[in-house]
Amino acid sequence: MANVTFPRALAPRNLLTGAALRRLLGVAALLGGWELVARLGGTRLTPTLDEIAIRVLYDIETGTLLFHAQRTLLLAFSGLAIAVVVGCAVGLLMARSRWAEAALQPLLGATYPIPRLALYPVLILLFGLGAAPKIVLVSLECLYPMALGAYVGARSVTTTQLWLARNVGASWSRTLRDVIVPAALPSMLTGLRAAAPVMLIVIVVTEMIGENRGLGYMIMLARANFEPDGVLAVVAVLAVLGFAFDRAVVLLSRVLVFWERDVRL
Amino acid sequence: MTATLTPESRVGRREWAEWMLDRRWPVATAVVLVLLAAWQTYGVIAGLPEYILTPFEIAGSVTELLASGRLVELSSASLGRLTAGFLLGTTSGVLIGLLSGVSRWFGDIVDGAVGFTYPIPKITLLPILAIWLGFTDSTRILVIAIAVFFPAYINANAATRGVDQELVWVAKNAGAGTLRTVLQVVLPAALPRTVAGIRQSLALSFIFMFATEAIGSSTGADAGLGGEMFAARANGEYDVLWAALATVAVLGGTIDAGFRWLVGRLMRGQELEVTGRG
Amino acid sequence: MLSSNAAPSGATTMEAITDQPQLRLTGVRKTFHRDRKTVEALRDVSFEVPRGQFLSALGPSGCGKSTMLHIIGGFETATSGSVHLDGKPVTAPGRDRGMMFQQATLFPWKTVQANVAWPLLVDGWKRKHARERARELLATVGLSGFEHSYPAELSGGMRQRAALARTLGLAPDILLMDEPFGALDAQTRELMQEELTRIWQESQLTVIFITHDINEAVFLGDRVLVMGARPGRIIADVEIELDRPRGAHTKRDPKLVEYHNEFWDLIRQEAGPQPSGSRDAGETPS
Repeated sequence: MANVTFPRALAPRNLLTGAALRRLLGVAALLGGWELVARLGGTRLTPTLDEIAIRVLYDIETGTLLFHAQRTLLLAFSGLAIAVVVGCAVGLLMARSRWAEAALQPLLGATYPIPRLALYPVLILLFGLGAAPKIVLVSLECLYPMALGAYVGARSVTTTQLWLARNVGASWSRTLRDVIVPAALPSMLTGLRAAAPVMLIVIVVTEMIGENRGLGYMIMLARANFEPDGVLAVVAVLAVLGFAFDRAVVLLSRVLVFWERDVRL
Repeated sequence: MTATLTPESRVGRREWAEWMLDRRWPVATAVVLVLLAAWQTYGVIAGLPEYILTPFEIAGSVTELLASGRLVELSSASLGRLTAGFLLGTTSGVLIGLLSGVSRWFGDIVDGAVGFTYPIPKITLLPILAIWLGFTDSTRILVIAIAVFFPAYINANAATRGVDQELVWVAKNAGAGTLRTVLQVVLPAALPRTVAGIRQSLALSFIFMFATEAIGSSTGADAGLGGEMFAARANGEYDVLWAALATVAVLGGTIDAGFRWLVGRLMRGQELEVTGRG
Repeated sequence: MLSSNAAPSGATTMEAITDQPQLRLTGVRKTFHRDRKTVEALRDVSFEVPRGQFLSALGPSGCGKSTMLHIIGGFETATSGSVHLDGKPVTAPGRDRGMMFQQATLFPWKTVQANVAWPLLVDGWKRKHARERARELLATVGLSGFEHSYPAELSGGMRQRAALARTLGLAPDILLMDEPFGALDAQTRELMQEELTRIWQESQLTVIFITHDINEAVFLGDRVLVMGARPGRIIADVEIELDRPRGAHTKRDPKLVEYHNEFWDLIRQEAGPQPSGSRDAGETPS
């Protein structure tokens, strides 16, 4: 659970190596296969790639996509922001206090396999239908990777590093700021990278369950109208968003964790 | 680490505390019990809104619904879909992952396709599959399988690629053929991480079991725990809502614990080195 | 059963302070509990160190020499016995005792200069002054020109030089060095030993230097404590009569070879008669 594995992304830097070409071949095979089925099927149920692209442009032009995406991203990032703050605090606390570790670590481990989504009906009862239960659910779900990342990171601080701080006479807060947090940062960012796709999934699922705004709602509306191109247009947009977030976190890691030359996130 | 070593003078005074801290679970259990007791006490003394039940009321409604057979019916509908989707997704994920870890060519091609589709929130495939196949069991199973495929594939693949090159050289040096090397060296060495991926898939299959039932929920016998929870919220049947929630939590926790126990039994030598102590 | 913390003997008048040794260990004992077994890491360790002395502590792994240093540094506490620095009992780490570890323990996210300046900033120095002082310190250890490098860009020996500069920046009364050259390759190690004698001769600091390398202990030390394992204790306390200043020529001094043989015999005797099975009895702590 501690070491999260991410798929190799299509790195644009070394596109000309054999491996990268073969990966592009994989993408081409996937898209080509879809196009082939769509052309042979020839019905509205299987839109071709250009039909999907046209639908995306149409949704952008009418402003609907921007309207719904804004709402989705606002709620998603609010939830993620809460998870980052609370998760890092919980993780650092667990790593530095044996009592907090004993109380929280088994609890997080035991509740990890339970779908937080099951709490959504209860959250609706508590907070009403609207933004609040969605934000709470996103932050609950993202809390796990964030807390785990901060915990693993803060535990990687060595005894000698802490002894050095004591030798120098650094205060508790100074040690936290200058020693523990920088040492935990790479692992925290790994947690963030794991949390980003979770954030998108959760927000979209909640919007697919009874809502009248957001990208999840757009999907359900298109489905109800039997517009597969409409559904797939939003799916494509979500995929692009997911990819962009992932790259953004990796880029952030390169900047923030500059001292680790080959960042193996 | 000196942390595990206790100076002699402090042992007598804090032996019980050290005992609890070393094992961790007694502390966690105590915290949970205190929270449940506070919840119960507050509910009895101050009163809670009608849609929040106390722990005892939840336990009561679980027994009631178990006796009437309703919970069993709902759980088996849910678990049936979960099992089918999980098996389909992890089996294909692990097989393709191991295969593409062993063969570079095949691996790169599949890697490209996986990397391309990875950012898609898989739950969005439910509506599109529903257009083709309707909101049926097969649609739900397929979505669970696709979602679960990814962690299984990625970890199995990374595990195989990450096998220590020197282990492979040792095998080659001993004159082992490719097939023998793969079966007796690469696969066993890749096992711990592959299993870690399967555990992620298991957790994910619960999320997707629930999500596929909640979206486009139906009522009746095949509603499953997820569908029933949303129906119960809409109808104000709060006892059913909380009983279903408790069931999901218990099932999720138990199945994961069972999985870890099984893994611990099956691959003792390696698992011990991977987990270690603390 | 063992004596409790002994109060500093005699009145601590000003004259007494200047007369008494800078560091005094009295009956230091350290035991650990692990898996319901008691491991005795140190038994009745007592010695005194006069101001300005370079003291090497030599011993095999598991003799508790590092634990002893950690107790002097205030990072660990003795089970019984006491440590006094200038007549005052040691209870916690402090800037008067600069500690150097086997690993350089530089922060990888700070430049070499920022690493050296950090203890100064913690002490409340102005940023500009701390930077200047850090540059001076780096020059002392021969790292001029590497101020803006990151630790990852330096070799092992250069990292230990930077760590030494950082420790000197604490302006300590005593340097506590825990096998600081233990992780370096043989050539770098020799060079660092010569470099350390040079810096020490200029600074006149008191040094306690832990090592398991006999030649290193003799070459550097005014005096060598030879320690035995299980339980960790002092088995010999020898003044080294090699001429100062020492340098590369000292390593060819026949007296160094004599010391080497003498200490090697001591250590062999200590390890010799023990049956191989008894090695499990006393586990090495930490």
